[in-house]
Amino acid sequence: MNELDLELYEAYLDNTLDSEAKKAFEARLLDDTSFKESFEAYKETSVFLSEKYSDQEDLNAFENNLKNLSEEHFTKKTSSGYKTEIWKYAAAIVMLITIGGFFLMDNDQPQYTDFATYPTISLVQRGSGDPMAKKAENAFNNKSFEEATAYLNELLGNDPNNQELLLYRGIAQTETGNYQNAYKDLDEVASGSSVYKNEALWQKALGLLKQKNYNKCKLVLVEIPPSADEYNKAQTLLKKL
Amino acid sequence: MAGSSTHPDQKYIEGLLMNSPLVIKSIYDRFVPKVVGYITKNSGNEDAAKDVVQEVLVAIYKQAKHKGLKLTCPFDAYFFLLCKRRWLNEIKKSSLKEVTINEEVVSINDDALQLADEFDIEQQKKLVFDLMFQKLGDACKDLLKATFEIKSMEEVAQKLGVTYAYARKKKSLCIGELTRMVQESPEYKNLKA
Repeated sequence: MNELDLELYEAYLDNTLDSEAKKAFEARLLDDTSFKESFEAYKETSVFLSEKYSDQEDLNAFENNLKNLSEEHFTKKTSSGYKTEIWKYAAAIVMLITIGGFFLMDNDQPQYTDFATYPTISLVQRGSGDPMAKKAENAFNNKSFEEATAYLNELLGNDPNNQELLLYRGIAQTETGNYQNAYKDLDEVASGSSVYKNEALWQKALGLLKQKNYNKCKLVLVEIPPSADEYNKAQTLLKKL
Repeated sequence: MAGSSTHPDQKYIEGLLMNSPLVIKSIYDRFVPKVVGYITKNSGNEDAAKDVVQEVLVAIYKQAKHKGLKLTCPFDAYFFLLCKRRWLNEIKKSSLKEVTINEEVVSINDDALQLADEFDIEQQKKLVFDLMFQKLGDACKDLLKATFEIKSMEEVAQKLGVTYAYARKKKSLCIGELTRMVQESPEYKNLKA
């Protein structure tokens, strides 16, 4: 590898070649096998270094998030030791009484509060430590949904197609009773192809349940496919409806 | 993996890249129990499984972020295979007496096998790069670390008290030097063979 070639490789990867030079470079990659091989080797090293040193803040945020969710997952699992058995029975009895009570009072329809769960969200992850994202995250996780909606509006202003933000704003607006706007957000996510699609359907169904619009709620629930994580709870709710 | 198209489960990879709690949670709920089952049946316990899962998810995240990982098989197959291999390596390393491996019949997906092989090679290459990086001179090490951490060459030059042109040139020379050392190392040649 000669020095000039090395500088050329760097400039190409760095995207600082002008369009003429870039074209010449790419033509040479096609013609000259040894040039190409040595460029590929250079690039591999460059990728290794970027993996080792770049975007460490993102990686740290990911690792922290992972660690927390892992703890949550494994403690939930292991908490079924024999000591908790008795509590389980106690809880079951209390639940029976409560559910019985519900059924007596409220002609058999399932309640929004039996099903509503909102995720703990984590928006501060993209290195920049965006203060607005932090505010939105805190407000949402503290269940100050009015406030969370305002912050999410700002964030979506800069990133209008962010499906994750739309989902969270949809949930927040369902909570504050702003159903029309909530469904607009949730429908948009549900009609896309992101990973949040089915969660958006589920959240919309919950909104309709909260409004006691049981028929529409059912229609949304049947759209949740068996492959979705939300399928089981959707089926449970469907049966009750 | 040429020719194979991206599997719809790529959504999990994208979710990991976005650090989405929903996606991570769903990976834990849907795919982790199988890994825990495998490890606990093969001389491990839940804590060991927890570590393996975290290491593999971080490795997948890095692979996706820096190498543009494209899944050509179900996430489940890929993830399970990576966890399983990592655990078997762990057992080998700690030379735990004689271990009998309890294999359940798991349908192995060819694309998953190929992806997992590629993943293993990447991990081994990384070890060679790390080893060679340690052998570089301090000036190169510092400069490379700074240029990849900071990204803006102007800032790097300022920080190191050199000119912009010098920093750029030196960066390419140092990468070239590291590339040469790696390419010439027998470990790397073995991996490529």
